[in-house]
Amino acid sequence: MADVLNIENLHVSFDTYAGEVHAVRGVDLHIASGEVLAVVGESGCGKSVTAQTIMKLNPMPPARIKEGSITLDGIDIVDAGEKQMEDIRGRLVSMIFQDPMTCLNPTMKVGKQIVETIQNHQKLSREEAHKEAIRLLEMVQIPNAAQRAEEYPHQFSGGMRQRAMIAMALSCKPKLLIADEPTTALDVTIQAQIMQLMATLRKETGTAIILITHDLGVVANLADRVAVMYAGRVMEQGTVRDIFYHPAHPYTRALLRSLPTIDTDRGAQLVSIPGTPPDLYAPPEGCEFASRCSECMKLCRANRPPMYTAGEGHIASCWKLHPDYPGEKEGR
Amino acid sequence: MWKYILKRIFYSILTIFFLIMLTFFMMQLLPGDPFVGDKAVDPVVLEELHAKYGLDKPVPEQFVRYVLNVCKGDLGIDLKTKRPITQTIAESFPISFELGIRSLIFASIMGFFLGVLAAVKRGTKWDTGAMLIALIGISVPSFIMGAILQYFLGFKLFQWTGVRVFPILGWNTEMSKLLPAFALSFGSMASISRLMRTSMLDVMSSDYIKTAKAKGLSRMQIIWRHGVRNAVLPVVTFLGPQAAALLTGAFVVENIFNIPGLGKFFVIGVQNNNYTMITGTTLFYGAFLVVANLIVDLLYGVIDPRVKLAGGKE
Amino acid sequence: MAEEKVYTPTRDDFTPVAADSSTREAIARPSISFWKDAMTRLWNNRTAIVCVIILGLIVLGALVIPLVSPYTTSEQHVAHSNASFMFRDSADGHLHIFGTDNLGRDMFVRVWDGARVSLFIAVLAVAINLVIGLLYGGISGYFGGGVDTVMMRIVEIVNGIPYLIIVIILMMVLPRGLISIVVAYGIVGWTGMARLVRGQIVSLKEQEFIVAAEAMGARSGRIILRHLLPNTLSVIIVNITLAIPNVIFSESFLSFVGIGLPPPQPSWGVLASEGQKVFQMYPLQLIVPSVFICLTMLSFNLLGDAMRDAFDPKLRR
Repeated sequence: MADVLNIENLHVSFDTYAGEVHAVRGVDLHIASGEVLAVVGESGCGKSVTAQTIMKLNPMPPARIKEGSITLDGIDIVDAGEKQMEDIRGRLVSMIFQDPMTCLNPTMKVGKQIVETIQNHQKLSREEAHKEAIRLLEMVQIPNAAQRAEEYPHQFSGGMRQRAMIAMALSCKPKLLIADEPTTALDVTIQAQIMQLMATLRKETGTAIILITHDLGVVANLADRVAVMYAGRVMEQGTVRDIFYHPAHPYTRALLRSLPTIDTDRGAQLVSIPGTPPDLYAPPEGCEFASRCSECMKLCRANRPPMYTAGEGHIASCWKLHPDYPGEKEGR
Repeated sequence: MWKYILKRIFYSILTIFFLIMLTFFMMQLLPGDPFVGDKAVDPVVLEELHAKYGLDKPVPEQFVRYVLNVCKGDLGIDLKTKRPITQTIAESFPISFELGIRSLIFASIMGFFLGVLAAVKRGTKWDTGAMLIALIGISVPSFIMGAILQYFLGFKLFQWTGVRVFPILGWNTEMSKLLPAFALSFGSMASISRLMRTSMLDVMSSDYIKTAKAKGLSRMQIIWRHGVRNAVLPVVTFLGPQAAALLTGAFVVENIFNIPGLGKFFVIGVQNNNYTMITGTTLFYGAFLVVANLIVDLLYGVIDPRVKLAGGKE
Repeated sequence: MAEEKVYTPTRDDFTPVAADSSTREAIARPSISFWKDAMTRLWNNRTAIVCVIILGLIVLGALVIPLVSPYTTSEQHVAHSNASFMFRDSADGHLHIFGTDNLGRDMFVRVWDGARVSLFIAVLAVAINLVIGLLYGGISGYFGGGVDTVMMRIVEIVNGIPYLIIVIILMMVLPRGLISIVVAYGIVGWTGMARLVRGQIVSLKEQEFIVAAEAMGARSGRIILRHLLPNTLSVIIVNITLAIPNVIFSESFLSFVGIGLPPPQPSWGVLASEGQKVFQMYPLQLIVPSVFICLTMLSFNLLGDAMRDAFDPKLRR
């Protein structure tokens, strides 16, 4: 199947008064239509920047695409003008954000905000658009949708707002939905409901989803493939099975170890990864993870490892996958 | 909502009461007889006044009498002209009000556009220019601005061209109303534009603007439909205090331009130690502003859907 | 994949090394203290520097020029009243840089003496505001609850009336003079400061980093010194800077209304008010004090803005 999105060697920097922040440094990602790709990593690893660059939502300047290409449904995003981007946003690709509390306009009725999106991309009359908005609200399982559409965001609960956001994002049947930590700001029970909803909608609409999260737990249910990012680079990419059962990169392993499992003893200390991510004003020369890596080797500090294949559709950037590596290879 | 309104009305009444108290004690604190100014007052009138305000009675009773009189709408009698204060107010306040409204409208519209322009074109020459105008506005007091306008547009322009475009003094023709209104509004315009800019920048960096952008709305749609509409809300609450600033500003502007408004009479009263005039006008001003603030607050409750709920939930 | 040259490792390269705990926790950028950072930013702001220089010159002039001037403020040169700019009298060799007023008093010394009075009033009044505001706001914010509610309601009521009206009423009762202006403004203008201080204290009391500092066992003295003070102080300093032009304005306003300083004491407001009466004939007499008033207010406003930006980079806009 053709890729909906193809990102190659993307470099994004921010020019701040303290210097250039190399936020994204050579990211390769691709996503087939209808597929769910999870992008996992801790705060500041560049996952949100990558996602926002796909839609060119980062204010430029200070953000700047230094290198690389983004192809969305055959359209070159990097060279697309603002007018073309306005057409693409909301129609081909849409986005839902982390905090549903602040992402809806507080002084505009929820229904109106969806209608606005619909009318922006489709030639529908006001009544038709309104009907469509109510249908969308029903689709995301908001009770009394017709009445709710006339209410303001503050009259909605957090979970309902996120549902409304999803309804808005899907209103023009985009080929790609980017969900930037869609459940982080929600209660755990609501989180599960939202994830469940996204899984259902994906089956119904066939929209490809990029799920950005720092929570490996939410990945397992929904995602087909996972990309693990660290310090602006993709460290490992593979299917959910690959990542969870045969992690090839020490960082992925460390992440997985830090997840509490059902077997974790109560009172047992959670495993954390010691240290802090590198400063992206001056990214290290070698492997970004080297200074925190428990499996660090002599060459890691000074030399950045290339991508190695760890199995079919499973790649990782670690010297331990080098053909000459004497020890036992992990992964598959 | 009703609870909110009642609460606001209660505080408004309290404010007016505080003002009544203040003026009353001012009269008490004045050395000697409050009704005897620098000129001898007609003894008959003096007697009348003393009886009316019960000056022979103990202070608390005087106060009650005073409050009752004020509540009845009796603000006393002008010591110089022997006319009721309310009559002077009725004659001169409409002029002050017109001047104030003209200034407020001009200040709001100009301030609004300057602020939006500066925020939208942030960091450009437009921004610098708009904020420079605003800075001049808050740094040049209205009496200086008035004098400058009089000198150049009223006086020099006439000297140079021989045509009297803007009269220096008075309040009769449309042209004569422009300079004072502009002089009075300049400071408010500056404050409003600065506030509007800050508010707009605040809104434009909020998450829902990002959502609007992600929806594919054009920049103009985002700015007007989502940006300005939210950014203008805090500016509306600011109009109440601005009414106060315009009102006090009118004291000097009316004097400079020789406009027979209430501000001019107030200042003349101050200069002549015309105490009943001062207290009467002060009370009227206070009440007027309190009501203006109340209206602004209630208006805010109407235009911001969030406020309605905050009251309705209770 | 990336085209960069891939290093070809030798066998030896694969020897494991122990994780280096020193580089792991290192923060690459040096940490800069709050004040140092703010001062650097202020220092790099050319406008702020110009404002400081202008204000410095005005203060210096106000202190020195009345002392060294050959004329006094009330000395009349009837022979050359209403003199023009840079007037030099050939008969007695008198030089009047800013001319003279209609009583023949030298404008140059009067405007600098006026600066002295206006700035003195401004500084003193703001100091009174600061003390009352700190106490009132501090008590209100510290105790919270009912005390806070009542105290803030009082502030709200006082705020409901334009402060100039209250000042005028107070000026009617007080004897005319410099101290009266200071007192009148001082007991009215504190509400803004009180609100500010209270807001700061209330929000700081709740803030996580204070809780965090407490939880980490920081002693209260240290908390106040390192956390509360820098945060509150910066806001207060900005507020003071922006309050001073307000007093200068109020003082000139009162003089204009006719209840300012008694003659012959000049202040900027008195001078502007006198100048306004004759400005069609002798515009200089209005222009000189006006320029001083505007320049001072502009400098304080610009400096206040610059300081706010320097102290709070979040608000930089």
